[in-house]
Amino acid sequence: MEPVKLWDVTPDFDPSFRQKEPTLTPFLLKDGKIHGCVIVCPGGGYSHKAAHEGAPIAEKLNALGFHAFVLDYRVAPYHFPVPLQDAQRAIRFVRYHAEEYNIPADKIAILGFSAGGYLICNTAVMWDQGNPDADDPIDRVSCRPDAFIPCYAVVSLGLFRHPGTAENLLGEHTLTAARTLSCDTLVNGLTPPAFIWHTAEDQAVPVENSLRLAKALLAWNIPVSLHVFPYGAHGIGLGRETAPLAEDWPELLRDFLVSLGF
Amino acid sequence: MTEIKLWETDTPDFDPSFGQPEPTLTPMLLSDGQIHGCMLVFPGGGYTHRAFHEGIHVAEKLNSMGFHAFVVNYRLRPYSMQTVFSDAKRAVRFVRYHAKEYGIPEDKIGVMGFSAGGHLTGLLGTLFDAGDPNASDLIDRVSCRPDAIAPCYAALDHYQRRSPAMMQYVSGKEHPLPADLYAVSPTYRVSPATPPCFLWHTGADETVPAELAIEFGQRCIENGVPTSIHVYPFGRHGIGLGIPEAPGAETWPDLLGKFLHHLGF
Repeated sequence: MEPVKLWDVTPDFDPSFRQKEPTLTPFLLKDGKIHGCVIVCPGGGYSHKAAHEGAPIAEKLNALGFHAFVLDYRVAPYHFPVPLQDAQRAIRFVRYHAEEYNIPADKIAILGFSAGGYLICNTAVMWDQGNPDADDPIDRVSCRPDAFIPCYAVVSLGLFRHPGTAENLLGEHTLTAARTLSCDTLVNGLTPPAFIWHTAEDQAVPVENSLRLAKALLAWNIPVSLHVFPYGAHGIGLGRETAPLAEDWPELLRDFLVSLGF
Repeated sequence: MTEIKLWETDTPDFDPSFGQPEPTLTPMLLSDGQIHGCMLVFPGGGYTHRAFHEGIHVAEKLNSMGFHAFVVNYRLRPYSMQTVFSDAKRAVRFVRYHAKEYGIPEDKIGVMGFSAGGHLTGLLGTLFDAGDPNASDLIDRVSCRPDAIAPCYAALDHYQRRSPAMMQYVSGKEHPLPADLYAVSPTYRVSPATPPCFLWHTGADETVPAELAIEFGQRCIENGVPTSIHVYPFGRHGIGLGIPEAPGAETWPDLLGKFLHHLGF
């Protein structure tokens, strides 16, 4: 299906940055039945977006029984909070059109890899219920995801950070800014359930990002699935020969979403 | 089912007044004549009993995945923690000594356990020894280091967990100091020699916090140990092979099977 623009007029758009306006590409099941959905945010360190973490993931999610969307969000030199605004708008957009898409309005999950993982963690800890007085009816809708799925994700912008991602997101990196925006410290009792996975050997984004996030969620009694696999470098997407055992993550994700009623 | 005594004669520290039988192994061996790795299974039970659903049924599941298995019928309170741990070490030595006879490679002997059995598993993975070359009992000359460990909703850190009765039991002291608890808490004894480790737990566990699995796993990863950590959201403490109220958690045995096969078991 064709990409759909998130806004008719994209806020804070700067043509000199030479990026397209942010879009969602729907990957909808065609069986006429209602299914929960997952919005997929590829990684790329906030400098680009990795193709193997987009469409192939959406297709796999379809095969597992879920509708899916791939979000093309803005990256550097756009800085925080522009990517977050794109992701929040994407959730509102899908929720606004949920009935048309055959999706329950309360079964909208968001998934991200690496820097895209930071982005979706952001949506899980920084959300609102919509503004009832907004002119744009889409802005009246909540942008809280019903589940979030960090995949070898950047969580912290301070300790255990991935330097490229942190700098590209913040512009100028300071520990003060990093502390305010590290997602594990922003978890609270209203944070949605999470499915977290990572490989222990990740040389780019330390596995401690996922371990700290999981412990923060446990501390608030939020349902959390954590799966750490022993082998594999950063960026394996669906799992490859170099990451034996990690290829099980999509089926484990399916079980998790099904247990939440997706 | 056949049970084999860990010590043929003279079980050390045996006290008949405690009313417990001598410690044994229950072998559950595949009968296909092929060589297979094995797992020793330590049921849980807080050191006051051994939970039935964490023993034979788990061994049967291991068999179905292509591994030999042994259920370890270790001694219980009021025997001391040190005596119970010596049963655990003896079990590994015994199986390794008889490995060839059982059709098991000497370097494919893993250990798994639930709750308190998970604590024993963690102790074996961190406080193992290479055997005593001068021992008169030939079995005591054999290493008790497992080749893989799988602590299941395990009590791996008594310093952090702070269950008063258990702190006293594992340390052997009425008022244990931090050092007394570190000494018997596997989390603080992980090293590069710790065997590959498969951990699983449920987030809703009210008895042993899932954080203990995450932290033990982190120590293993920091020490270069191949490590799998699987925390499932739902399910109380003690679900064994799985229960309907813990959707998703029933996948842990297959994940463990793949982990062990990947290690050559």
